[in-house]
This record gives sequence, structure tokens and C-alpha cells, in this order.
Amino acid sequence: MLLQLNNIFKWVQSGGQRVFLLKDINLKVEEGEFISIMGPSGSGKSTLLNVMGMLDGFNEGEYNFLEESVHSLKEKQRANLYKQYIGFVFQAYHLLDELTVYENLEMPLLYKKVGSSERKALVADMLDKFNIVGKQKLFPSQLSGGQQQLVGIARALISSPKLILADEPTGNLNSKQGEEIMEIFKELNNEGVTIIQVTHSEKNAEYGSRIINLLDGRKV
Amino acid sequence: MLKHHIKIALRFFGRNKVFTFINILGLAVGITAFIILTQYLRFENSYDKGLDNLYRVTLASNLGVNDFEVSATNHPAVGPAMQDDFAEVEKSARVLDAKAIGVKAIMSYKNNIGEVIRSSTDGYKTYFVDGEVLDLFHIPLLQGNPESALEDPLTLLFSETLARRLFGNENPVGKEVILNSRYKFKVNGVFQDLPENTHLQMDILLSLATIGEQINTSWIWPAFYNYIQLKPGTEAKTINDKFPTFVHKYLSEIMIEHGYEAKFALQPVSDIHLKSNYEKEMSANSNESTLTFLIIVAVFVIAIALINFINLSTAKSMERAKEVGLKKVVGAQRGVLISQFLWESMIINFIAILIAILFVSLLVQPFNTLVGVDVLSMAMWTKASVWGIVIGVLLVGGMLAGLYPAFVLSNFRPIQVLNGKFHQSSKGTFLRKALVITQFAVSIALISGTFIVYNQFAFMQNQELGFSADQNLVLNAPMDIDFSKAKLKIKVFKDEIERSPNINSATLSNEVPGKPIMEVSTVRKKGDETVDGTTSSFMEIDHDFLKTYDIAIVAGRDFVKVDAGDYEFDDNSGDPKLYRVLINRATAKALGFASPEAAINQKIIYKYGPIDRTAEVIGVVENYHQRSLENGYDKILFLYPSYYFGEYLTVNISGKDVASTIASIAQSYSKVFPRNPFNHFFLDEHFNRQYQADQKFGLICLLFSILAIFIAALGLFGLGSHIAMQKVKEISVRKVLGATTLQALLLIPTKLLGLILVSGAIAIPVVYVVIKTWLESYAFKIDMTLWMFLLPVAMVLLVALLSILSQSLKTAWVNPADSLRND
Repeated sequence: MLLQLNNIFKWVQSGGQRVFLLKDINLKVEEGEFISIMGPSGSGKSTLLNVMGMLDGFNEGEYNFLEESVHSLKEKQRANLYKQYIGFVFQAYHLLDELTVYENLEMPLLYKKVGSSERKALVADMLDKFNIVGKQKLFPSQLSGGQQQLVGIARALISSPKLILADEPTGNLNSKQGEEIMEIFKELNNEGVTIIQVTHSEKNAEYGSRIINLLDGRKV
Repeated sequence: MLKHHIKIALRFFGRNKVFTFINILGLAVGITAFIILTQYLRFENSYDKGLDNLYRVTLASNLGVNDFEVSATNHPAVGPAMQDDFAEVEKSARVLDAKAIGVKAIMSYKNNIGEVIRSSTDGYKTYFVDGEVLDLFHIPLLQGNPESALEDPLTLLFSETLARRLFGNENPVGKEVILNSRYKFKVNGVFQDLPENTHLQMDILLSLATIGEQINTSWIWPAFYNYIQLKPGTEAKTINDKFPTFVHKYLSEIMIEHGYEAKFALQPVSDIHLKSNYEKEMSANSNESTLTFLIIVAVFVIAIALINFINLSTAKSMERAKEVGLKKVVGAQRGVLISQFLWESMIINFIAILIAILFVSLLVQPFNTLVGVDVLSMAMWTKASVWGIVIGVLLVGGMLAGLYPAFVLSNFRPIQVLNGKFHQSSKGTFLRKALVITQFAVSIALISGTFIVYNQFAFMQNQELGFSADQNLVLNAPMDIDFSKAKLKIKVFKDEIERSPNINSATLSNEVPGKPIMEVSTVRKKGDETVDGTTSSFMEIDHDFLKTYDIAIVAGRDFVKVDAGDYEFDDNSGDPKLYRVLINRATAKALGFASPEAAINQKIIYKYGPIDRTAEVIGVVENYHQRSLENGYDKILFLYPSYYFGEYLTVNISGKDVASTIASIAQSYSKVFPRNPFNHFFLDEHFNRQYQADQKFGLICLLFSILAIFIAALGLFGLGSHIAMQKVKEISVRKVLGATTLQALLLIPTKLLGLILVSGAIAIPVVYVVIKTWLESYAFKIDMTLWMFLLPVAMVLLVALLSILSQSLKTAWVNPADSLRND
């Protein structure tokens, strides 16, 4: 079991009333799953994803990740946990504009204090794997959206996470680029990486092994 | 990791050229100003340092009336008596200005090719000194024996520079130099030029033994600087506590006879330059409050530059938010991010310092010229202290300015940043506002301070002086002259030059306006006690003085020839002789006369040395400014001696053909007074020389105020462009809702106006209090008016508006469709 959410509640206070963002969410994710979270705007998809990625907290409930109870961890321990096991892919790619493709891939390794030669090898692997060796010296602004997302995924993968969380990874892409990205996800999943994605598209959701539907913060 | 930090930093700078340029330029200018000012302050503080345990004995005396006046000079017997009486005294030395005994004006010697050269010593600082001066002030002799060089009468030492100027490469030792055509001095050696940072500036040292042994026991001639070296470990207080008994022992009889009280005190020599402003100071000293002011300016300038940096960096932080959020997500610890931004700050500061070093190096000459002393030199770059300042600025500036942005930036929560819900916290905005307000307040304070200081200086120089200064040419009266025939010769000279239509009149006097009158004594109404009297300056003039100087008579009459009296000698008839004198309005008032008219024909008694003299007031003249307007009107009593009293000849010229007029005066002068060199100066220049220090101070204030404003404006420009950029969306929405371009344009300045008004409200009271204190030291001062404060506020507003106007315009003209589409 990779992670387990038990009776998760999350709310914000608005005008003296609680507005629930997540209501009583229960979810088990096994290693190797490919899950798609769907639902209309404001249904809590991204919030759920962020809670699972430990970027955001919750008000009630239990969250266990690899047998660790996340809800009882301190912020710093939690950060260490997600840094080690989780990779993020964003709708807007969020590549650093000042850095080349190569440097964007290298950056997470710098923060993990990976040695120089190992960094080179890992980055080279990734460039190779995603077929972007020829683009390693380009800056993000010189790439198409699909290529940028490719770099984004490569960057998420470079520190070999167990789980990839993707928040509408194809939201800014055209359908052909989107399809390519989804194919890559599927391949990664086949290699054993657990993937949880938020998506609006039924078609993309089909790539997953399981679909979770949300409405007003509740699982339906 | 460091390589990564530097890479990111350089690429970020490259993409934000304006931002980086403003930051670096502002810091560089700020650091330049800071280095120069600290060097200047260091120089001012370096005066007479290293002269431990060396003191000057000051003399406070009250002349029998009201206040005690402190003089830098004291009696010549003080040093020897202290050495006899106090075991704590190690050595002592005395210094006497040669002018005090009339050794001046003329020097003759044979130069290297045997010609007899006669020159004026006016430009050379000439002093009679004890040989111990060399030891006490660590003055090395380049030639001659320091033990004996000044032992004998009629011996002298030249400074290195002067010796070379007079004798070229020839050895001056053993040569004969004649002073005042009478005294033959032997050159016994050459001393190394004194450094600029000592109050003791001397070109010619004459042996004090020349004056004679009798001065060693003289207690009635307070014209000597007495320097005392105490044994190591002795507190000045030990001696100061013993002074009352000491003064009583030696001076009690004399004090009773002359009717005054005296107090002695030890003053550390190292305090003289900054803390001493007594009567008869050897050189014009600096004022500590001026230096304090400059320290404040230095701190202000660099603070403004650092605030700029903090403001711009935090403002830019919005653009860095994504980078921070993302780095956190992929595993960056907060510490690593903080160190990244600190490195960025250090890099910018480092580049700024390199540029500042270049700026300072380029400014060495101009700045030295400006302040008139060699404060800066390229040699300073070899001094550890300078590098200490540079590195200190780098570390403190880089850290201080980097820390806040680093913490703000590294504090971003990745989730907010990456979801685009990022808003800057109101706390950060508040701090930024506070910093901007500080900048404006400092700028306003500097501008209005400089403005008022300048107004005061202009006021002093444009005020009516009470005498005509601009058409008066002053000559040194002849010194090498048979005194019995001097008055006659002066008359011959006056008659001769007054024949020229370009010359109105000429007068002989022992003082001219533009410096303090040396002779001060007490005056009282006849019948009053001494304590009811007043002090007054004494000036010796002839019957043409008031006419030549165009000084008005308010009551009574001017001197005529027959009024000339022989003040120096009593006729011993027992019946006191009656002299005729003029007094000015201030003296008449201080004596207690109800009006100037009431003083006419009244008898007054003034002290001449220990002797009381009775005189009749024949006229009261209008007050005029004897000294700069920093001082009030001096009380003056005018005597018309029948003997020769000449120091100055003032010639009132018409102002036509000035050059040929001076040439013809010079010709007459050398004809009537052969052997006397012709020296002349214009009275207005002489008078305005009193304002030199003020002008220098004003100029430095102005310079650094401009710099401060420039840096603040730079920062404003950067911040303005940033605010404008942030406002694009708001302006677009407003325009869509019907706002005109102008209305949109006004959006930014209205907020700015608020900030500037708050700054003004903070700055104005502070400036008011500080400047009021400063103005207190001037007897004649301007009134502070509201516009002196409002104008600087308006100026700052204008600069602020101009520097962001271009940015606002760009924003206001924006097509709403473009900026709204992205959201």
C-alpha cells in the first residue's frame, strides 16, 4: 500500500461558515496504480491532489504514506517525505525561465546533493529517455508547450519518485501533444511508477486504471 | 551549488537589465559617497593623534567684568613654573606668533646666486619657539642638531619646502636671514614639513631665546602657547585640581593690580582641531557638529542606496516566486534558498564596490581641490583601514540588504505560488512603504537642510556690512621705517596718491574689518565701578578712517587732526590727561547711555594695560560688522594716536581702471617707503575669506544631498516601473469600465503623494529642530519660513513623479484587451 486517506476533511472559514473543500474522503492507493481524478471546476480535485502531495494540509482525518502517518508529522518531516518520494507535474509546466533544459533537469539533484558525475549521468539518461538530447541547451521559451511539459515530466522523474502527481498535465496542450504525454504516463506506469492525475478529459482519464469522481469535495 | 547560484544570479541580472543597473549604480554611488566621507572624517579625526600626554594650558580670564573668555594662549612663565612646581610635568615648550612682536612683513637673504632677495613673510607662518617643540611634536630635523638648533638667540629653522623655495638646492644651513631689516638670524637647520593634520602649521621657527630670558618669569603677557608633556600615566585632572593654588601663587598680585580673575586648564592637544574654538587659536579649527552632520549624511546616503536595493529586490520577488515555489517542491531547503539570494545580493554589492573604487579613484583630485586639503590619495588603497571599510560595506550592506528579500522570497508557500493564487502579504507591502517613506523623509530632510544652510550663507554674504568693502584696497603699512618720521611719510604718501582722480581717500589703521580685533580691554562710565563696566575692542585709526570706510556717525563728530593723542606715555603731572575717543553704538549701549546723543561729551574710563585712562566721547558711530555675521556687532572704542600705529593703509578707489590705479599706488609706495615690499588685498575678498569654511561645508552638503536625491530617484524609478507593471491589470479593468487615460494615469501618483506627505510630516519637524540649533550659533540669521520646508517636499514630489511618469504613461496607454486576455 502506497498511501491511504481516512475520513479526510478540509474546510475554510468564510463569513462565519465552514466551506468544505474536501468532505470525508477515503482512498487507498496501491503501488503501480494509475488513477485519474475527475470532476467539475471547484469540486476539489486539485485540493485533493495537493493534500496527497503534502503541499497542503487538512483539518480532520488520517493520512498514511508508506506506513508513515503524515498527519502526525511535522511540516519539515512531511517536506522531506514528499521530496523523496513524490514528483510533481504542473499544468503550466513551471520550468525555470533562466535555466536551460539541461539545467532544469539538473536542479532537483543539486538540492539533493547528488555528486557531479552522477548528476551528469542521470540528466543524460533522462534526456535520452525523452528524446530531447538535442534540446538540452535551449531555454524553456524556445520550446513548444508539449516539449516543455516533456521536460517538466523528466524533471519530476529524475529523482526516481514512487509517485507522480500531475495536475491537468495536458491542460495547456493541443490534443496531439496531450496524447503523447498520456502515452508517456502509461509507459511510466508500466515501468512501475504510480501516477495520480487530475484531468477534465474523459479520454485522458481512460488511460488510468481507476477513475475517482469528485463533486463538491465528496467522492461520488 | 555555488556555481548554480551564481549562474542563476547572472542570468537573472541579464534578463532584468534595468533593475540590475539601477541597483548597482545606486549602490556604487552610495558606497562612493560613503568611502569619501569616511576618509574625510578619518582625516579630520587624525589631527595631532599620537601626541599622548601632550596638553595646552589655556587661560580663562574675565577682565574684571561679566564673562570669562578662554584664550588658547597664556603667559610665558607658565611652562617653566609648572616644570618647577609639578613633578608630573615631564617637558614643556612655548610658541609665540612672531606677529605678536611685530616680526613680520619683511625678510631678506642672499639666494643661491648671491642676490639679496627681499620678500614678505606674510604667507609664511613664523613662530618663536622653544627647542623642545621639535621633541614634543615629533618634528624631525633634516639638517641641524635637534638638541641645540634653537638654543641660541637669533637662530632659526626653515621648513623643507620653504628652504627649497628660498635657496634652491643650496645648503641653507649657516646662512644669514635678516628680519625687519634689523634682526640677523642664522639658519641652523631644516625641519621636515609638518603633516597637514596638525593644528601646528609652521614654516619658520625662530629661537624663543631671541626674546630674552626675562620672559621666563613674565606673568603679564598672555600671548604664548604653552605645551606641557605629562609623565605617562598622569591624569590631566591631577594637574587641573592643582591649578587654583598655582594661579594664586603666581598671579594673585597681578590679578588684583589689573583687576581680573584667571583660571588655567589643560586641554589635550589631540582635542584642539575638533573641540577647541578659543580666542587666538593658531589655525582655524573644525567644528565637531559639522562632522557629526557629515556622518549623518554619509549614513543617510548609504542607507538610501541599501533601501533601494531592498525595495527593488522585494518588489521583484513576485517574479521570483515561481522559481522559489518550484525549487521547494523539488527539494530545496529554505536555508539553501536564503543563501542563494544572499549570494545574489553579495554579487550585486561586489560589483557596486568595484565601481565605487573606480569612482573614488577618479574623484581623488576633484575632492581634494574642493575641500582644500589632501584628504584622499591613491595611497589609501594600500591601507588596511580603507579595505576594512570596503569589506565592511560589502558584508554589512550585502547581508543586511540581502537578508530581508532572502527571507521574504524563501518564505513563499509553494502551493500558493504554483497555483497562481499568490498575493503579496500586506506585511511586506507595509515594510516596503515604510522604507520608501524613510527614503523620502531622508531626501526631504537633506534638501531642506541644505537649502536653509545655503540661504543662511547667502544671507550673511549679502547683508549690509555697515562699511564700504568693495572699493577698498588694503596695503600693509610700512614696517621698515624710521618711526619718528613715519607719520610724516604716511602723509606724503596719502597726498601723493590722492592726487589721482581714481582715488577717493586713504587711511591708516591698526586693524581692518574681516578678522577679530586683537586688543580688548574694559571701559566704564566715569564714576562707575570696574564691575559695572564692559569689555570693548580697541582700534587705532586716523581722521580719514570713517570717511574711507563710509561708516556713519550717529551722534557727535568725527576725529579731526588735532584730536590725535599720545596714549602711550603719561606726562606724570598727576593730573590725568583727557583723551578724545569715538565709540560705536554697541559700546554706548553697553556702557548704559540711553541714546547715542547722551554719550556725547561724557567722560569714560578705559584700561590701558594696568593704567586707568580718562577720555571724552566726542562721537558715536554706527555699528558695522568687524567680523563675519556669525558673530554679533563688536563693541569698539576708536583711538587716534599721535604716534605711528600703522598696520594697514586702506585706499578707497573709484573702481575705474583698477589695474593701472593699483600700479600707480605701488609706484608711489615704493618711492615713499623704499625697502618695504608692496602687499595689497581687496577688503571684500579679505572679509569673505571668513566664510571659506562655511562655503566648503555648504558645498559638501549640497554635493551629497544631490547624490542622495539621485540615488533615491533611481530607486523610485525602479519601484515606479514595478508598481506600474503591477497596476496594468487594474488600469485595464478601469479603462474597460470607462476610465480615461488621464484618470488611469493619476492612479499611481495619488498613492505616491500620500507617501511623500507622510515623509514630509516626519522630516520637517526633525529638520526644524536640528537647523534651529544650528542657526543659534549665528548672531545674524535668517528666519525659517514655511516655504523652505514645502519647497523640498514639492521637489521630491516632482522628482518622484518624473521618474515614474514614463512608466505610468506606458501603463496607462496599454490596450486593455492585451493585458486582460491572459487571465
